[in-house]
Amino acid sequence: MISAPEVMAEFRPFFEATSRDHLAFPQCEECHRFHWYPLQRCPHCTSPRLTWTRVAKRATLYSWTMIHHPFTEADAARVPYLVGLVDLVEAKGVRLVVSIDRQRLPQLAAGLAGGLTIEHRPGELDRVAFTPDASR
Amino acid sequence: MVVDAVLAAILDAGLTPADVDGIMSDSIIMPVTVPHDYVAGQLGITRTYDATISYGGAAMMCAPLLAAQAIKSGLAKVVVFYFGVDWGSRPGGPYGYHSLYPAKGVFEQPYGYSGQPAYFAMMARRYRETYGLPQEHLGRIALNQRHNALLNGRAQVKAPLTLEGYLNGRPIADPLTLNDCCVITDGVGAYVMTSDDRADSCARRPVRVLGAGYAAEAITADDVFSQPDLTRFPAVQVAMERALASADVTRDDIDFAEIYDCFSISCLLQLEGLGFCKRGEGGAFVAEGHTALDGKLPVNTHGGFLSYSYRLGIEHVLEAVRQLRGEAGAAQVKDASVGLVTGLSVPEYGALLLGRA
Repeated sequence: MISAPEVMAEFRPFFEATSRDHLAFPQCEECHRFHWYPLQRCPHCTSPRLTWTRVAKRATLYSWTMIHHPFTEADAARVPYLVGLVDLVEAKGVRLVVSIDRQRLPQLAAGLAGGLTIEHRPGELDRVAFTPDASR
Repeated sequence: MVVDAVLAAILDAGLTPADVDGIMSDSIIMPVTVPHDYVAGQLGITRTYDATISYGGAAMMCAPLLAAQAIKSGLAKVVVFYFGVDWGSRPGGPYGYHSLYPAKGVFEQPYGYSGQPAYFAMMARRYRETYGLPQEHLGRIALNQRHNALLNGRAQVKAPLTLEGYLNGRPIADPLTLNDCCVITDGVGAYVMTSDDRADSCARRPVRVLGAGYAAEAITADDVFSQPDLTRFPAVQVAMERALASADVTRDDIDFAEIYDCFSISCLLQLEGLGFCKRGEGGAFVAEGHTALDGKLPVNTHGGFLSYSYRLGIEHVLEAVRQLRGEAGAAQVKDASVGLVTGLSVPEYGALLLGRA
C-alpha cells in the first residue's frame, strides 16, 4: 500500500484524465508542442498558454529496469518489479514512467510498441501500465 | 566533522583561520546542514567573501572558478571550500533528495522509480540497447577501481573483487549489480585556495588550478532521469571544452582523471562525453585497459565512489592533489603533471584541471 502524495494543482489535470481512463498531457497553444513534466511555460517557445490534450494510449518502449533492491519501505513488498520509460506516440516529447508486468521481461526491447492502461487502486494515485503488443 | 576538516586543511597549508577571508561550499546541501557561519564562528574566520555554487557533485570542481575571480579581484586572499555528507546515517540517505522534486513524487515514486540506482539502471539499459554493453565492460570499471582502492589502505571497501565475483553480484536494478553502485558514506573534505604567490610560500607544495568549466543544460532536475537522451549526461562536453580552453591544455596532456563515479555506467558515459573515446566505445576503452593505473588515462586512482568513499567528489579533488604532489603511494601515476577532476549533479556538470606546481 502506497499512500497517495499530495498532488499539486498543476499536476491535477493528469489525474483528472486518468480517473476517466484517459491520458492527457500539456500542449502549447502557440507552438503546439507537448512537454513533460508539467511546467508553467512551454519549454520550447516560453508561451504560458498551455492546455491539456487527450492522446491515444499508445507508446513505444524507451528503456526499463527490473528493480531487485527496495529503495523505500513501501517498495519492499513488491520487489522484484519492473519499471519502464515509454514514449507517447501521439505526444512527441512526452516520456512516461510506467509499470510493466514482470512476466513480460523476456520480450522487452527498445522501440517495442504497446498499449497503455490505467490502474486504479483505492487510496493510491492512478498508475499507467504498458503492455507490449506482441503479448496480446 | 566539517569544522575539523576545514581547520585541518588550513593548518596543513601552514596557515591559520585568521588568514582565511572567504568560505565556499555547494549551494544546496551545505547551506542547510553545515552553514558557513557555523564554521566561521567556531574557527574565528572573518569573511569578506562568501559564495556557493551548484548542487553537491559539481560544486567541488567549480568552486575554483569563482575563487579565482575573487582572489584576482581582491575580494578575498584565502578561500576555503568544504563539503560533507551524512548520507550513511541520515534517514532516507541519498534518496531523501526526491522530496525536493514534486513531479517525481507523483509521476515516478508511485511506480517505485526512485533511488538513484534505478535511474542509472535505466540509462545503462538504454545504452545497452543502443550500443551494446557487455556486463563485463561495466565490471571492468568496478574491478579497476577496487584494485586501486586496495593500494591505499584507507578505502571503505577492503575486499578484493574478481570478475566472477562481480558477475555474481547481488542484482540491485538490472543491469546494475551491487558492485556497479557507489558505497554510502558519512564524511567530509576541504581545500584551501589562494594566489600562486601566496601558495608558493605555504607549508605544503601547492597544486595549480589550470582551469575549470561549469555548464548546465536547459532541463529541470525533475526531468533529468526520464525525459532526455539517457545515453549521455547533459553539459559534460561544454564544461570540458571550457575547462580545456581556460587551462590551455589538450586531452592528450591529461595524465589521470578522477571521474564522478556514482555508478559504473556514470563513469563510462563521462569517458565518452569528456571526449576520451567516441560514443558507444566507453566500454571497450575500459576493457582495453586504458583506464588502469598503467594505462593511458588512469581513472579514479583511489578507488572512487565505487570502492573508496562516496562524498560527492571532494575526495576526488583530494586524490588529484595527492597525485600531483607525488603523494599517492602505490597508486602514484608516474610523472603526473595534469589531472582532471569531474563532478556530476545532473543537469549540471563541473570539470576541473589541476597541475603540478
